[in-house]
Amino acid sequence: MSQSTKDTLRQAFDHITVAPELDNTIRRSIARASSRRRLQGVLKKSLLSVAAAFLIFAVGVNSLPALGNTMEGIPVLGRLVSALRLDRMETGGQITDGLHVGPLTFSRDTITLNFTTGNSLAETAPWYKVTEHTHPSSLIVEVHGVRGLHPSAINPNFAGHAYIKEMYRSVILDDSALRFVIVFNQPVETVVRELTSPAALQIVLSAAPSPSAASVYAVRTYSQTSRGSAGELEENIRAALEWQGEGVRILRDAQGGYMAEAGLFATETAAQEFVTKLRAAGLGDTALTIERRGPNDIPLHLRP
Amino acid sequence: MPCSVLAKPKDPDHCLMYRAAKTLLGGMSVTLVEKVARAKRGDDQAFADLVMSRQEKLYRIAYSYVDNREDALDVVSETIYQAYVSLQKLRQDEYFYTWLTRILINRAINCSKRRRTGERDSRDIPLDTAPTNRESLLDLYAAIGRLPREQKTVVILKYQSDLTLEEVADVMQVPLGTVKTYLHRALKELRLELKEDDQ
Repeated sequence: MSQSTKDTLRQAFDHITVAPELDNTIRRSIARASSRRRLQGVLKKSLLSVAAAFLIFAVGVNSLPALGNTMEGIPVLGRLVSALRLDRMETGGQITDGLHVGPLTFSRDTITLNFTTGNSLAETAPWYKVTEHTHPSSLIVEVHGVRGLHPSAINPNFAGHAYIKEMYRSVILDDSALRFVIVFNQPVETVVRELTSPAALQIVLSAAPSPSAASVYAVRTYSQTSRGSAGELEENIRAALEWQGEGVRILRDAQGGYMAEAGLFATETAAQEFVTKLRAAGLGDTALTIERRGPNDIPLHLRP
Repeated sequence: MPCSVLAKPKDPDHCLMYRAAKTLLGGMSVTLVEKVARAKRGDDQAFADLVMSRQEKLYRIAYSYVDNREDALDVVSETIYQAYVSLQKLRQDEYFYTWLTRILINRAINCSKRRRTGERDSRDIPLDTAPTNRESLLDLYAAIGRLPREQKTVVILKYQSDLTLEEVADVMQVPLGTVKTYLHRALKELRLELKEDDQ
């Protein structure tokens, strides 16, 4: 190994351009971890009351057969790994392969997603990412290292639910991952809880104060009949944005079609400028349009 | 009041242990130990100072494993998060950066296992790099990428992060002799890959 190559090895490190968002990324991680520590403090204080509630529950299940029967088939809850108030994005879980997503259960304020392997519940949750979105108020949940879906998680019926308008499977161009969209009928605050033994991902919802009711201008593709086409368009948009487009997403429209969205803008002029930027970045062949959308509106079904 | 090297005493000049530690470790090390102690007591700013001062180095190590910007940011983000929530488990505060680098490498290795492509993003090489150097760099990155995991870690930490072999051994939690063996094999492999003669 020559000295020049050893020098090159050293210099190779300095040639790596540091991403401009590194500073913000680190600050967000510290804020996220700090919020978890504060929450754990609160949880410790609540331990006694939880223990008391559990005692009452245990007595109830053992002394009232009807309650016991009702609980059959619902997976027991595991040990809490983390519980974090969602601030734009949350990730967690472990690297897994071949888990199945579901069964899915929900109550007035909580969606619980269990995971299975073979015929038993998985011990640890797969790697997940939950991101928060507006227009409409929604969450996108990605789960990686999974292969199958329990029937209860395919098209859960949330008719009449206090917070949830609909939940559907979106598309992700990775055959070991699944992506879901949960659309709310009002702004919500979300706590993401990860549990282990058995594994579960819980999304706990509560009403949030309404933010500004202003409409925005969405830069999006036209509606596609298949999720796969929307997935390809999403990849094209991400590539044009050099994989940095945080607002890029796929949504189902009002008539059941799918579209890829590149971003939301306060004014039509800003949206138009973004379209120009995308076209200059090599997205010339992809037809884009601009849609004006209210805070709770489902995207329109738009054809060229 | 008892004094220690972990927290600056009220009257440092009259605290023999504090003065001795400061002399032995040098001013910077004492500052590090003090900051880690403050971070353990819940001082977020102290923790931020500790990680911000090394942010570029952390990012470049992560990038050396995952070869793309998004994953490198994810790895750094998760490392900082994990370090914060498990800081109380760090027994020797003076080894904060060794410990942090170990978390980072484990995260980066896990991430590199699940990423889809193995090619480095050439956009992350500065545009002012001459085309021939650009090609050489890509060849070099590819050759490092093909090394077995332990050898790759030694090369990254030794040549790209400027750690001593002793520090590399601390990070990898293996004996110094093992690190030397990994390095020897890695350099031999790179020499073969790059078809270069010894000087």
